[in-house]
Amino acid sequence: MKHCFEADGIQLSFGLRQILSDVYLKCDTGAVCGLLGRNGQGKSCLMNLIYGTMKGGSRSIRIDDHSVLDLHRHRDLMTFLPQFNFVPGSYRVAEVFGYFGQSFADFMQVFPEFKGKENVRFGQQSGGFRRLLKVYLVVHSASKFSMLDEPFSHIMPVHVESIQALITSKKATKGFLITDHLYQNIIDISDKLYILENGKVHAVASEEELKRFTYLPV
Amino acid sequence: MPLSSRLKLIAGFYKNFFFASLLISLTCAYLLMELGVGSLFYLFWFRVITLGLIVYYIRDYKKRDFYFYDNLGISRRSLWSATMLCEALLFILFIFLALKIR
Repeated sequence: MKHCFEADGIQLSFGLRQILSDVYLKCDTGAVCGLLGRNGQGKSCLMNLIYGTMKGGSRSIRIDDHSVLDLHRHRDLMTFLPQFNFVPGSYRVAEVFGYFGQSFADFMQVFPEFKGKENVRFGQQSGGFRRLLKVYLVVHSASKFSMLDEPFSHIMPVHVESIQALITSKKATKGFLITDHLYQNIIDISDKLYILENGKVHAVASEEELKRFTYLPV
Repeated sequence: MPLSSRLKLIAGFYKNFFFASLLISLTCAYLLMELGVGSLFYLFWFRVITLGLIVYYIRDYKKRDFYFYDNLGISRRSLWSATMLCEALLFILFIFLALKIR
């Protein structure tokens, strides 16, 4: 079944500085929507506003035309990978997989080099491995949509393609909103591209347009 | 998610401040035994204020962990309600025992 996620009317300012002023995003099941933008443009703030974990701005968030302003309370609708570590370090890896309703054995089929790591505590893993685990768990979570903030950062190049393949394979059942500075990885898998520039979101169709927004060098 | 997993996750969250909180409750019970029933009013407010400080600290220091619980469908409200209920019950139990022993 197809679902539709829409965000618009999003306003955010810090003091006199307007961060977000004219945002419209739409993402359907089966689509990967890439969100690009330079540092400090408000990409992470936008995701947190959408998720409902950042207050202070006005917003309209809808899923299948139903308004949902507190998406963080609806894991069936939206899961979110923030750019920082969010899994408490005291949990063992297999335990975390269990809580997410997933199996470490399935993970090892994709990433066999991590065999034997399931009983190690999350906090004792390397930063890259922790990031990979979190990306995997959120991508595979049973929600209608997932937002991924920098899923390719801290990931070693050999795993980037695997993550791209995971996202592409899961998009049959859900929609993704993804942002990362490793823009080529985003462009490669995106069905729809947006750029956040001066508080406004623009749909872009090609790398040429990204150059026009001075996001890419001319 | 099964109830047992939910309870385990809430217990995992509670572990962040359980020992600090237990120590404060035990201190209150000890002071009650030493100072008498007249001190109960002050000890109650002492417990409320210290608990408020703990909550403030956890909300700030562990704020990233809340995304973990969000992604698992355990709301911040559930986490705080369950742990505050345990806190209240523990405090009442210690006060009751302190008054009995005294």
